[in-house]
Amino acid sequence: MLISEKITLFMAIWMVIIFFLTIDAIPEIFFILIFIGFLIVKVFTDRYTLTPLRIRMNILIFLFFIVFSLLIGKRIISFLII
Amino acid sequence: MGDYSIKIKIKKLKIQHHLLENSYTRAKIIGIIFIILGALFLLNPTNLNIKIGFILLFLGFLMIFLITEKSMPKKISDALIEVNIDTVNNLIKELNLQGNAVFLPKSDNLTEERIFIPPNKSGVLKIPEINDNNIILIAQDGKTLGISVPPSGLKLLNEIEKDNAFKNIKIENLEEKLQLFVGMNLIKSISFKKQKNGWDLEIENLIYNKNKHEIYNQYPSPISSAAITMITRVLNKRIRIYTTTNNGKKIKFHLNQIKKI
Repeated sequence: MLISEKITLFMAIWMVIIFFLTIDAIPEIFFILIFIGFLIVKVFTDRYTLTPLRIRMNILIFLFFIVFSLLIGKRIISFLII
Repeated sequence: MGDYSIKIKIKKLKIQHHLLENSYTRAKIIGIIFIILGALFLLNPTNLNIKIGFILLFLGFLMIFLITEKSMPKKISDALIEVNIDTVNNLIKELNLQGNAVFLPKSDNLTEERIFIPPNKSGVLKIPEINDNNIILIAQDGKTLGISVPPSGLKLLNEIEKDNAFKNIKIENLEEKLQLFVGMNLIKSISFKKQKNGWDLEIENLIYNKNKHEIYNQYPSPISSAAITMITRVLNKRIRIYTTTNNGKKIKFHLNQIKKI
C-alpha cells in the first residue's frame, strides 16, 4: 500500500471515530479535531513522503486553515454580538 | 454494419473495464462521487448533515489530490529490472571478477556515479582513471583491471532526487532522508549507522533472494544500490561494500571509504 493510500485510509478511520465521539457536539469541534488529526498525520509522515505529495498535503492544510479561520471568526463575531 | 457496431461496443467495454481495473482511476471516480454526495448533504445543513457532508467532501478531496500515483504490478517491474542485473552478473562471471563493488562519486571524468568491480577481493585496491564511456577496463598488458558500470539503482535515485535535492544533506540527516525508500513502499525498513571503520547500512527488503547473496557484494539490487549511491552522493566519497550479512529478513552492508592512492 502506498503512503498516500495509508494516509487516506487513516484519515477515513479517524473521521469516523471523531464523528461518533462528537455526534452530539457542534460541527466546529468535529471540524477542529479532524484538522488536528490531519496535522498530526502530516508531521508523522513527512520523512516518508516525496515533495509533490507534501505540497498537495500543504494545499489541503491551507484550505483547511481558511475554513478553520472562517468558523472561528464566525464564532467570535457571534460571541461579540451577544 | 452490424459487425462494426459490435466492434465499437466491445472496444467501449474494454475501455470501461480498463478504467475500473486501474485502482488509480477507481480512486478518482470514488473521490468525485464522494464530493457530489458531500455537496448534496451540505445543501440541507442540519448538525448531522454538515458532519457527514464534510467527511464525504474531505475524503473525496483526499482521494483526488493524494492518490495520484499510477502503479504497475510488482512482478512486472521486477521482471524489467532483472534483465539488466543478469547482464551485469554474466559479465562479472565471464571476466571472473572477485572483488566487491566500489561506488565512485561524480568527478571531472564522471558525470554520474559508477560502480567499479575490481578483479581481486584482497590486496591493494587500485582504481584506474574511469570515464563515462569505460565499461571493461583493460591494462596495456591485456590484463583485466575490472569493470565500471552504472549502479542499477541510479535511475531510481535520480527520479527520487527530482523531488528531493540531496545537495545540502549532512551525514547526521542521511538516515532520515533514506526513509524515503520506505515511504515509497520499496522496502520495509532502513537504517544507517556510523561504525569504527565505516558505516553499516541495514535494509529490510520486501523480497530477498538468499541464493544471490554474493551478487549483493558486487552488483546490489536496484533499491540497495540506490541507497548506497545516495550515500556516495551525499558523502562525495568512494564507498566500498566491504561485506554483506543477512539474517533471513534483513541484509546488512558494511561499507567503508576508499581513499585515492
